[in-house]
Amino acid sequence: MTLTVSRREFLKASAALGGAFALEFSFPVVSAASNGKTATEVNAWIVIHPDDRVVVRIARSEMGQGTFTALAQLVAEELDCDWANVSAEFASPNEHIKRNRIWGSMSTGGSMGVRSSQDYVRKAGASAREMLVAAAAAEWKVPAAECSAERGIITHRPSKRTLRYGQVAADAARLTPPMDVKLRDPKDWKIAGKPLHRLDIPDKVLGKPVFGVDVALPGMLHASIAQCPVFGGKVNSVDARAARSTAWTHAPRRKCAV
Amino acid sequence: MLKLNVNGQTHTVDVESDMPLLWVLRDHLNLTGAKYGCGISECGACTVHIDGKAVTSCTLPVSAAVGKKIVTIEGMSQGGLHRIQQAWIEHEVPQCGYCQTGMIMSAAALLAKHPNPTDAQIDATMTNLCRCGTYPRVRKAIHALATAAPAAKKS
Repeated sequence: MTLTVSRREFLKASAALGGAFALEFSFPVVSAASNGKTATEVNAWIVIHPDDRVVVRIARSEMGQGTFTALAQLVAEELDCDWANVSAEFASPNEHIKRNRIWGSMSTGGSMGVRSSQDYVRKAGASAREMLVAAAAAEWKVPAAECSAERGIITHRPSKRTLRYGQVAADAARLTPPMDVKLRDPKDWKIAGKPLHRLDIPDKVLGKPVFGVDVALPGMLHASIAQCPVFGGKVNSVDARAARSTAWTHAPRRKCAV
Repeated sequence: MLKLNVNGQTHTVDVESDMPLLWVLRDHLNLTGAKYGCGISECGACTVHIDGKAVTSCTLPVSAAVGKKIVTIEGMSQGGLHRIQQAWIEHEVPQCGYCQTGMIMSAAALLAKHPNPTDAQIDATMTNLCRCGTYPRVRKAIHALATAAPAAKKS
């Protein structure tokens, strides 16, 4: 694994762009054994498979408000890929901590999910697109300025040669992320801001999403609270014999939250 | 040990006979599509089918389901997406989705009994609670699934 720019250097440069939010993309983690058959994380927000499937990471909760899809649309718009190839997944909170809060705010509330992150997720899409174009240009040994990208295909305009995102993603991930990217004018949007089908619904009709109540961890116990039927009542004693008599009950805790 | 037929498969579970079926499904068979909502058969989030009828599994002792055919949301798509699930996708019915597996199970039981339900029949049967307020789309999707002429769909 070779990092082409140090984390500190990149953060400094990103902050120097002038945004209040330090735009922080991941550094490509491409294993030495990468043979182009595995998915590549182009940056923290975007994973591209060799068959051009794009997975957009979403750092906000989806509670039916559509943010999961809207943010993916914003990323896909700037990335300029085929929406039919786009799916989304939640960014992992554990990874977020491990990678120094790489996805920025993960809080969801106040109708702010899209508003407060639209700028930097679009930049993530635009940055990835530029890296993909640069990787294709390098492959052809031509200037990147002679190449353009549309719907997941990079074209070298003078020679009409093309490469797909999936073909160059692994190479793109090794490049230095651009320090400044230009975002599209919303009037030119083809994916963002359009009434597309929500990406979270197919799983929801199958009962697949993991809600809080569905989380299962190894050795996890389930607690049940016996509420006092009277306001202000205090525990005098606990007769746990009946509860302990079952094979699946662990000793009730007397000293717990009131 | 109790024997249960869930989604066409026989499972042997070591549980107390009065354990609510919902918790046997969720905690012992890892079928978490049915949800715990109220625990008193009011909200319908835990709805499953027992011998084709919609039942709230949160208050049903597991012993009452022995020898019967239990179908959960996970069993609805065994042969590919069920047509109700397809309609739910097409009409974008779910929002947060928590109550929707129960909604779908209720809708399936309703349509089995009344292939072309009136709004009154939908209201009387689809008593599942949805905090997001998806009721208008639930109704729309059910009507879209009805087999009779459009004129008969309204009451």
